[in-house]
Amino acid sequence: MIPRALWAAIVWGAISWGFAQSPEAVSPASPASSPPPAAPAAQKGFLGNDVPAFDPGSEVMTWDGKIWNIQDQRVFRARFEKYLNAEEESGAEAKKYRDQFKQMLDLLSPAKMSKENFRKAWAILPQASAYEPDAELCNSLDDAIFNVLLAQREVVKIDDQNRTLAKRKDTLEWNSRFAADSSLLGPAPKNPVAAEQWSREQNLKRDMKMQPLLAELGEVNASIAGNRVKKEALRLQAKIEFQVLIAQLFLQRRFEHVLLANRFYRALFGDGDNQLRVADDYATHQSAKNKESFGDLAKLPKTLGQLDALANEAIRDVREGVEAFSFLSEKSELKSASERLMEAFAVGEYLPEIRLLPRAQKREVLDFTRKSNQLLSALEVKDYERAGALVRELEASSKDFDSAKPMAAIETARTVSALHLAKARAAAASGDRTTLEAELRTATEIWPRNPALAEVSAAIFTQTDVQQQALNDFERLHAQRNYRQIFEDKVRFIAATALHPEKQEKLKQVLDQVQLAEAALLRAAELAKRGDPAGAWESVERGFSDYPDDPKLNQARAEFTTQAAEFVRSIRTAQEMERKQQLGSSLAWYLRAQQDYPNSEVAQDGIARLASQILAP
Amino acid sequence: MVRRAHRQTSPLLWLILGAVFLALGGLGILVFQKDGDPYRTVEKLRAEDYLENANSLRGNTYQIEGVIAHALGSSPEKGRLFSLRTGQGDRECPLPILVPPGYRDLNLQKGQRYRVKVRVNDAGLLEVEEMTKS
Repeated sequence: MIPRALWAAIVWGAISWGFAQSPEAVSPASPASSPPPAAPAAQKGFLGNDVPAFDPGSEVMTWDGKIWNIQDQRVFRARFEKYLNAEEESGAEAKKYRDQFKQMLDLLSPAKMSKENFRKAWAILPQASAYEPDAELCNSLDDAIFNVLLAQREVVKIDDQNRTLAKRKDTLEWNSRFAADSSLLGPAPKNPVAAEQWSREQNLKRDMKMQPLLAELGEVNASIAGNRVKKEALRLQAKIEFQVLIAQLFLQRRFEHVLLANRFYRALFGDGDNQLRVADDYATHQSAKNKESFGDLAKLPKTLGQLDALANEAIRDVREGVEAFSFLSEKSELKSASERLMEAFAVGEYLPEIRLLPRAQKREVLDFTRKSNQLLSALEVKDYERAGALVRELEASSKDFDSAKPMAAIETARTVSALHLAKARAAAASGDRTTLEAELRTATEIWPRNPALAEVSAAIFTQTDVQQQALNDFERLHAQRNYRQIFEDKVRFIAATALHPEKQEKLKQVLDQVQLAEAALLRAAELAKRGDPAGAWESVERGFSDYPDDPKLNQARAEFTTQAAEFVRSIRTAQEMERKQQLGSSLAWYLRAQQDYPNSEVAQDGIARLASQILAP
Repeated sequence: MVRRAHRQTSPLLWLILGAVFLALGGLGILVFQKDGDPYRTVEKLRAEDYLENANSLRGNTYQIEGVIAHALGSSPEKGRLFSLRTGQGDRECPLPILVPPGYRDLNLQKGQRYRVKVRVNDAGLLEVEEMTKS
């Protein structure tokens, strides 16, 4: 028995041809696609190392160094889905067509082969061709048979011509012999000189008689030889043309037509020569472009017997596949059921076992197949959220659905995407915009529809905006010397300047300053509570000298100035006098202020300062 | 009845007596005053003027009277600086006085009351020229 993998490989060639699809167009891009496996052992089969190989485990086809995944074939998936939705071909016409096929095969079977049966079978071909799903293939076969018969008639004519030529050849040979023998009749002269002269004349006469005969004989011989060559060429051409049709039917997966055409071939060419010359003669002239479109004909089997066996094997394989599908479908093992049906469909799309499968039965796996296809599409477009949901649905609907591979792909993508998002967050926090953009781009490429992506992006950009806004506000308030506002919003500015050391230092100075003002205000409030407005004013005044723009200090200063007006006047006058270098008056005013408020530090400091100045040598 | 002869005092006499009395009284006051205010010829310093603009008073000599309130500092070269609390209206007004080194022997203590003759020096300070306890 031919190995299953080998069989699938050959059939795959047919699929490639049937779909006229170049392998490069379907390179697996999905993360869920299995990695390319090592070439299966089937490649070392008797058809050579270049024979395509199918690995049912990974559903991967390897051929000529190219790799396909059957499940990834969008066209195939669409075709399969269309089939699942199609009604079974169980009508009267379909039945009649199949009966006709059976009848033709029966008439052409080796046991019943006769010219009469051949003519009967041939007569059925045009009728069978009327059935639309036959795609006029029976007509093509009919034409091919007719062509062979025409060629055979031509061969008969050549045979007749050769027979005529052979008779003429016999006549010419006899005439030549007679002419040669009769040329020396009659007595020769006795005179030696005359005898020699007579002999020369006789030879000349004989040559003159034989020359036209020999020339015609040569022509006849050449014609006979030419006719023989022509006859052989006609027979070979007829064979090859018929074989090409059979090969084409095989590659089209029209296996029943292959069997029928084979039987017609044997009936037409009863010489026992079953060598498939397509592979040798025709294939040697096959162009590269033709190979790309239709597959390499050199990789076809070497005899029609092999082709016949493969077609039979295909039919059996499809029958088994359909049986397996029915059984698995009953057991709710939809994944395996859909796979068996898909395999059977891929091989024997046109076989009755596939065509007669009831639609109700097919639809059982339709939902699963559709979701499987959606899962593949989701994985291809990296929509892992949807892929995850589909995996869960498939798990619920099918007992044998293996979620390990898709889930591994989904989880890997999720993890890696999350990793890049985390890096993006870190980059955003550190203000590294280049890394931020790169990480976001990578995360997007891995999982474009990641819900967290939009969330994180928004958060990052909002954060960035907020941070930038805070920095702008800080700079503006600092320029306005509105330290009080900075102090009141210090949490925001501390966060915003965390990554900017120079701004952080500026903020620290501002906050220290306002802290001192706050401390002065607190102390002033306490002293005011104790009925010491002069002390309160002095406290505020000390804070004011450090931060004259603080509105709170200004307000408190104005309030306490009113309450301790005399003391404040003394201090201010003293300071003014000091500024004017009127040391005596200034000192007198400080002394007066001290008299009003003995605890005055301003007065004490002023007195000490002026005393030192006065007493300085 | 014997009518006694009535001898009337001359008004002129009364005028002379009055004038002598007034002269004696005035002399007494003069003598008394001379003993109580040694700087009676020196103008008293108006604290308000000094507080207002000491520099404008530079070169003038004044007398002030007050209580030593605080010692503000001392220097061998410049002397000692005190706060002298002077009475001024309803409230006391402390004024700084600089006691030059020449008054080193004078034992100035807080709470002592002094009558001081001062000169407003070039720096606008009240520099002591004389001072006596009062």
